[in-house]
This record gives sequence, C-alpha cells and structure tokens, in this order.
Amino acid sequence: MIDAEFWRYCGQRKLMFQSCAACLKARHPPTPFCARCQSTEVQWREAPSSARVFSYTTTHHATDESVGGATPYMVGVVEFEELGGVRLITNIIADSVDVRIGMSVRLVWDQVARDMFLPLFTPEGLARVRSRPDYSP
Amino acid sequence: MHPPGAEGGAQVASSSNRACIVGIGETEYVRWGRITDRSQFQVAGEAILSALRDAKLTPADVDGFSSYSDDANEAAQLQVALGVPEVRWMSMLWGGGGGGSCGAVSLAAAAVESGHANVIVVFRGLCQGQSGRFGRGKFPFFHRNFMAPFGMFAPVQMLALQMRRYMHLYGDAHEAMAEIALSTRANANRNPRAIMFDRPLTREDYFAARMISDPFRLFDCCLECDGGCALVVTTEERARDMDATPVSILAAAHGSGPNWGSGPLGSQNMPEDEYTTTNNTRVAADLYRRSGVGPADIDVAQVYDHFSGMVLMLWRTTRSAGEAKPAHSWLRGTYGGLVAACRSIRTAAIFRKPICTGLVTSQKASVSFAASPPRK
Repeated sequence: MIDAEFWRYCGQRKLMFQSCAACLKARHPPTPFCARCQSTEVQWREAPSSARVFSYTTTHHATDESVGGATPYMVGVVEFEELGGVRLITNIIADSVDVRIGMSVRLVWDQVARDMFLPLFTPEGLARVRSRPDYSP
Repeated sequence: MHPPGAEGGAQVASSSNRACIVGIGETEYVRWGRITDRSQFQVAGEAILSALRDAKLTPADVDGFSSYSDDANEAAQLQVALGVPEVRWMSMLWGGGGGGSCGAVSLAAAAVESGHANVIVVFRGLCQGQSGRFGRGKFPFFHRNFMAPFGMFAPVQMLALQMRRYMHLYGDAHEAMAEIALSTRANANRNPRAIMFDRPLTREDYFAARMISDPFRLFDCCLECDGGCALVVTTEERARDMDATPVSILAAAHGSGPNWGSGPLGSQNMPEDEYTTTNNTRVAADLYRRSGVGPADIDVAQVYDHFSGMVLMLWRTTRSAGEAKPAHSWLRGTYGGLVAACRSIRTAAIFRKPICTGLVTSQKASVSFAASPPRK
C-alpha cells in the first residue's frame, strides 16, 4: 500500500488525492496505475474544503486498545463530488443527532503530532467544533 | 471475449464429470482462543482426516487442496503431514473471510470437472488465539493505514457504514435485524455442536444489549471462533466407485464487482449503486444461470451471517429481481449452528439434496444462518 505521500501532504494540512496525470481521474487509496487508462504517471489534486456525508457510524466499543478511552466516536465516509466521487474515511466531529447522510461537512485539521494533522469533518454551520477523540493511533 | 461466468461462459457440467461432495468433517467449534492444546495446523489436518473418513477415503486418495481467506495452513505442508503421495491441484481464494468458503468449493469443482485433479479436500483451520483475531485492530487489512488513524479497526465498524446507508436508502431495519439475530440463535440452540447451543436469546436481550458500532448491537455480530472444517470434492463418475453418498454441486461461483478491493474492509470506494449489495449481485446471477435453479426452487439457504444486516442485504441481491416484498418477509430460520470461517470476496454454491444454496459474503466466522423462503 502506498500511503506516505498522502500523509506527507496531511502533515502540511493539505488534503490531496492521487490522480492520473494523463486522464486526471482521482483515486483513493493511491495505487501504481490509473484504473481507467493504466498510466503510472500521477499528480496530486487538492480536495475542496467541503464534502458530503456518504455514511457514518458511532463506535461505542473499543476495537483496539488505543481507543479505549475515546468511545463513543463517529467514523464517517465522506465523498468529494468534485473529484469524481472519491471517498475518504474520517471522523465526523458532531453529535450523531446532528449528522445525516448527504449533508455537507467541512474539513477541519486536527493536530495529532508535531508534524502530523488528521483531516476530519464537521457539519457546515455547526457553531461549536469539538475536538477529536483523544487517542493515539 | 466473455468474462468468466457471463453469457457463453461455463455451463452445468455433464452429469458424469460433474463435481460432487462425498465427505464432510469438522473439529469442535469453540470461542476464539480456546483451542490451546494443539496447533491450528493440526486442527486443519484433523478436519481433513474427518472428512476423508466420512467419505471412506484415505489421504492416499487425495490429490488436491483448496482453501480461502489466506488460510495459513499450507497445502504442501498438509501433504507432508497427512501423507498425501501426489498433489495435482493447490488453490487459494485470496483474501476475504468466511465469504470465501463457497469460492474454495468452486475452485475444487473447476479442478475436478476439468480433469486437473480427482479428489480435492476443501479445508479451513483457524485458531484465532494463535493467528490473531479478525475483530481487533491488529488485523492487517490492506488499507489499514487509511482506516486506523480514524479509529476504524474492526469489521463491525466497516460494515456498520453499509448498514447505516442501507437504512437511509430502504428504511429502518432494526426489527429485521432482530429477527435475523433471534432466528440464528434459535438455530444454534437446536444444534449441539454450536457454540451458542445452550444460550437462548430473547427479543428483550437483543434490544437491551449494548451498541457496538451503530446500528449494530452486540447480538448483530457473529462470534469469533476456533475450529476446522473440510469437504471432499470429486466427480460424480468417481463417486460411483466410492462408498459414499454424493451431493451434487449444481454450480459454484466466486467473483467481485469493480473496486470492491477498496470496498467494505478498505477505503469504502466501491461503486455507489452497489454499496449496500454485499458484492453478491453478479455471483448470484452466475449461480442461478449456471445451475438452472432459481430462488423459487431453493428449499434451504445457508447465508453467511457475519453481521445481521448483511444477511438482509444479501437477501435483497439474491432473490429474483423486481420482487417488491421487503427483504425480511423472506426470513424464516430453519437450520444452523455450523461454522463458516472467515471475509470480502463473494462466493456461492448450489448443492442438490434438497436444493440448498450456501450464499456466503463478507467477514469472519461463527454460527451460520440458514433460512428458507416460504413454500408458495
């Protein structure tokens, strides 16, 4: 799996998706080839700062020791229409009653290390942005 | 060019060389980590020997191995340990979990029908205390580095995302999920070999159970378990010379739609219009076409029940198209308590006697669900 470039950009607070340099199709996660034209040439396209909620779940049970003190927290899938429907797994920072599929959410960056930020999302217009669950991946 | 299984692809084999099952074997099934007195490898071998005894065969009769879910017990090592003189076929259905079990049967059936091998054991041996749990964060999912940073570690979370969207598209399904969980348990309560044989479950228990990852409560989730199982596959022609009662494999199929490798157990980038299908649509169509059997002909369906909601999705995609009834009107538990073991390739097989379909989808192991449509 090729993940270093994606996270290097996140460290700069840039949400970038690998795209084909030949036909511009965006893809996630990164792969060595464009599935449409098989080109190995890539360029990175920056995602817009808003996305739509494709689905979400609030996790109440810690499925790893590292999240033992963080439950409940919401895992979401957000979709970027401008990038051909590429989807990203993320955390949606909101109460579940405030979230519905199809709603617009905006990108917020959460600093998890000196040089690393995670791309999280919160409903547009939500006044209070809570912090992300406190755990170390 | 036709894709495998498409129009013009493989048809039902002629009756003499058609694949059949002549033996089945199991070890005990226990909660994950409870098999500590012997190795996972030994468990796999015991299941194979049990299946061969059922078929009244010996390892000397075997010339092939087939498995799934990246089973860690290598065929060449099983050959050494069991004393199989010559192997002509070794096949593995990559990745996935319990969803691969019928696919391993399809590989074995293809091998015997094409003459590559004569007697193939299809097996799975799994001791999660030794090889690691599926339901925990350390499992090496391919896209793990795009999931774990957001606290998504386990299949229950990954598949809850599809269930949430399913309910967004088709309406609330909590009652149907409860029905599936309760009938599954009732089936286990009828099977002395089931892990949950002596543990009844009430509707009150179900709804009072803690939420794991919504909408999945505790009893929507399958068990993680240890155990081994095996089948012996050969042709009907060879079975005539054996002292066993063959069960015909009318069709067996495996496959995947586009982008499902970045699907539920990965980055969730499978096609939008298939997001809540469990990737079973094509496999079901191939199976019905190749077997000549349709949903109305099936008496018993054994459905992989990793999470209750996925059973519901599978019903939607495997019944005849265009039927307007809600999926859960079809549910009626009939049988259960076996272990499938294992994840994401979709597989299916139709057996005769009575006509039974094993429709297996995503994730892990445990007490298998079985249901049949009401007779019209």
